[in-house]
Amino acid sequence: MIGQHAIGRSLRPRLRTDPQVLAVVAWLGALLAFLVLAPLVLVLWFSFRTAGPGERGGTFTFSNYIETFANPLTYELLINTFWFSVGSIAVGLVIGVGFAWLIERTNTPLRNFGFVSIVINSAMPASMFAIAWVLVLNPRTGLVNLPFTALLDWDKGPFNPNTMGAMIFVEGLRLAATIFLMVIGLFRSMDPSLEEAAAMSQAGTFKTARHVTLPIMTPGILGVVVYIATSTVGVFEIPGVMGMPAGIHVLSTRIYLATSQTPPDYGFATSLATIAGILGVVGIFIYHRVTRIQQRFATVTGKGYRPRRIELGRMGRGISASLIVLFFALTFGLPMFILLWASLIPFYQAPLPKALDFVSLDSYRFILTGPGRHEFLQGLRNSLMLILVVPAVTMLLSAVVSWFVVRSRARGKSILDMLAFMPHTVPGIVMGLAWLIIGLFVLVPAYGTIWLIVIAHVSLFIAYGTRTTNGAMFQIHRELEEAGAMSGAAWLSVFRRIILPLLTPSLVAGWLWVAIHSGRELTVALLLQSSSNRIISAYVWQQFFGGRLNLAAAAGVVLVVLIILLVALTRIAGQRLSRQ
Amino acid sequence: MATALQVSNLTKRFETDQGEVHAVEDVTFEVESGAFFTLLGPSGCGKSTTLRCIAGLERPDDGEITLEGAALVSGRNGAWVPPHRRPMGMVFQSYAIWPHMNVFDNVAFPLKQGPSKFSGAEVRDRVLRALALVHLDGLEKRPAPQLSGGQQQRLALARALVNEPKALLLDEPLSNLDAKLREEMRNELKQLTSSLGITTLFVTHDQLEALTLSDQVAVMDGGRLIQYGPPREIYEAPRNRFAAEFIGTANFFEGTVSAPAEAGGTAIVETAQGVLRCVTSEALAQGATVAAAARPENVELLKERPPHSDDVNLLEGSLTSVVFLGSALDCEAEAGGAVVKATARPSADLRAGDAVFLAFAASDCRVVPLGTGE
Repeated sequence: MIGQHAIGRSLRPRLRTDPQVLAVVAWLGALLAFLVLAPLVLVLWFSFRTAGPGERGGTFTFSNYIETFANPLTYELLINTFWFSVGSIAVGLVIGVGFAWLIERTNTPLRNFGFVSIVINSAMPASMFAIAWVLVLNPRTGLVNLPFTALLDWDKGPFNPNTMGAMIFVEGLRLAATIFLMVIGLFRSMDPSLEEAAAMSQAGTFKTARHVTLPIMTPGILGVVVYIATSTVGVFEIPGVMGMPAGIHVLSTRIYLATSQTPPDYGFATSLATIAGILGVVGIFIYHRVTRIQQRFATVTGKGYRPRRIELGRMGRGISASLIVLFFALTFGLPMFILLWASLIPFYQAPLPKALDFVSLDSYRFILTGPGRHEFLQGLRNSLMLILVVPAVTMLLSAVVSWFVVRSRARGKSILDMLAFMPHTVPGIVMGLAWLIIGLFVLVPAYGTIWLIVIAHVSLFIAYGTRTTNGAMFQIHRELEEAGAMSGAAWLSVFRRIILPLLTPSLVAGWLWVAIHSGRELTVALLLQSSSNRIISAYVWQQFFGGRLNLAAAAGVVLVVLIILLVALTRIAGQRLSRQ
Repeated sequence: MATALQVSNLTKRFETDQGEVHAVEDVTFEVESGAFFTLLGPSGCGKSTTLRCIAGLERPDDGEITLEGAALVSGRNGAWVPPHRRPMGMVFQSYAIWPHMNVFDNVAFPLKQGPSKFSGAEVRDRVLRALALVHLDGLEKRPAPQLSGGQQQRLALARALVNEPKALLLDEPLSNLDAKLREEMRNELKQLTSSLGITTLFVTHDQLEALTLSDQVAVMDGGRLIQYGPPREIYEAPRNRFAAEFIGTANFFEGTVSAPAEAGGTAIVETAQGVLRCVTSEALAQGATVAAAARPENVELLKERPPHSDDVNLLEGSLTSVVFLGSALDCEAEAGGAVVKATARPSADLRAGDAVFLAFAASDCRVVPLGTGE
């Protein structure tokens, strides 16, 4: 026996947490606080100040809010935002859930094509999509109005892009893809025996779908709806392109207008942004409640089932195949065709045979080698910079943050996780405004450079990055790391040689997502733009509102091609990596 | 022999939703240099946590661990050596073979990333030697995930040994193998560690593994160390009921001591099943409440009453179940209101319902003090 010795309780904390780990957590916390918290606090702060950012003095005030709420415009904005969100979610839900069911649960033809058409839609930036639909719906030259104007010789067709209905339809098409991707996971994790039981009770295919499948999915779908609603509150691109020119405003477009007018009305902008931010936080709060209820709904488990597919009849297969083709046409084929067409003719006119004489590659020549090349190539360079730097920084930071959140027992790790998730609750337009204020008045040297957009994008996408890496980190057995430590490797080399390589598949997936979203992001880039840090999506916007439709379309086509190339490259790289 | 590892007053608590859990409570033991030392106990007894504290993967709340005289962790002066600075190799329950590396790279990792630097030729030389040691030579280019369970186990062993550590830690390394392979690996492990003469700490819940491999066994329960000593000593003289039950099955007959008995002598215990004579390792007062323990393999089942002998305890009962195990019959009999387990030869003509005499020698019956331990 070894002699007993009294050991004071007071010594316990000394053994508890590694001071080095604590120091790293503190640094990470400070970095995240700067990236995430500082911008939001600034927005909140200025919404309670009499003086705008950059002005001297100023006192605490409620007047911004009093003016905002006294302004009848505010209520119009809120009502518009409400209808826009509800309407587009309803459209997206019907299409997204319907397609998820068709593709995942039936033997419809063109299943793979349907999947591809959903995914390829994400290669097209929302602003491009909106521009394409403005052209398609144009009362006189729009494709859908052509039968009325060209054949019946009406002055105007019945469709008009600058209406709430059109905005809802176009946003709904966009949301359908997102909803589809979220819902398909739910379908995959549903126990097929529940449906089989219904079938054995002599319920037909559609009765089973209506009375069994749909009710079981409801909590999950509800979760998706709340999640999507949180983001539609701040959606800017489609209302910006379609509603704003006609004076149909939602929260995000009004915030943009308030900051881009001279002089900018920061009081109005920050108080509107605070309202949007609160709506976002409330939405995410409800989302968490809903998903917790959903977890209690024991029928949907985490297991991956391979449910039996429902056999559609001859007619059913015909209908479903045409729906899939129609969906592809509406979300990618038609808009892409129109953009290509618009980029090939100097002044827009309907794609009719008589216009073929004007077709040329002049627009591309102009922006690639002609007088417009400086501006365009600068945008291209800036976009490439974003695509290269933002995902790399975001995913590396996410991996480190996730390690501490998932692995370490350090105190304060839950704060890290919360900080990293926070940007998700905040509409992009609010983050944009926040970084605009920082760029103009705090990080002045960064203003006007691409680096300000880089930092803003990292703060925007860190929420997504950490969700990916958190999940992946849970999958890596703790002992794989511990074996590294027992081999005598210090933390950094364990992280570099073991954790990072094992995280690679998720890092690549996350990298791709961030690269695409950073490359096509418009809201933040637009708010932060100056003459020297314009990126392609902002360039497209500028050309479109400057009336140079052919240039906007040509630049847009280049951007879409770039994104598709990027996806293909990463896919190939990912397959190479996973084969090793 | 010199002491290699000392663990004193080791205490580790975890915060859980249900409050603080005392995973390890005031555990003290020492391991001699070159010994094979086993921590044995049911899951949740704190054996793995103890091992992980020694490895440095857990920080104890209190206590001291020294390896060859150097403090690894101490609650007295706050000394703390992180796991990667401890000269130990470890084999994990999951083997923790890195799937993104091949066999060679897995074993080379401790040499390349560890504290001492080796030249490329030296790394190669040492890796090949370690692989030869565990009979994996020729497989160095194989991707690690393509190895079988037994091969992964050997690989983990090679990786743990390649740096020539002062101690080898094994966390239930055999539990993921199937029965046949487990036996094979057990023998190999024993040969390897004794030929290397390395101090080995082994964690298991399998008493057979503990008994066959170890120089010393420490039985743990509920975070506490119940008893430690050579396996034979624990098997033959379990300190309490838990130790006796856990290290092989045992029959217990509770009763009172009818006459004072001295340490090492024979005690007479009056039980509900009858008067039993048994060996006691400590002095007993008259009237002390104890249990008499007999192992099933020492209980003989007889159809005829044997001639009376003072050295043999005899109970009457009837068989309630007979299970054929191939190499033996696993029997249960009811005797005086108690269930008695016995092992019989497979050829014995025994059927459930048979009336039997249960005979076990007084020398095979041991007094086990009742109570929590000490």
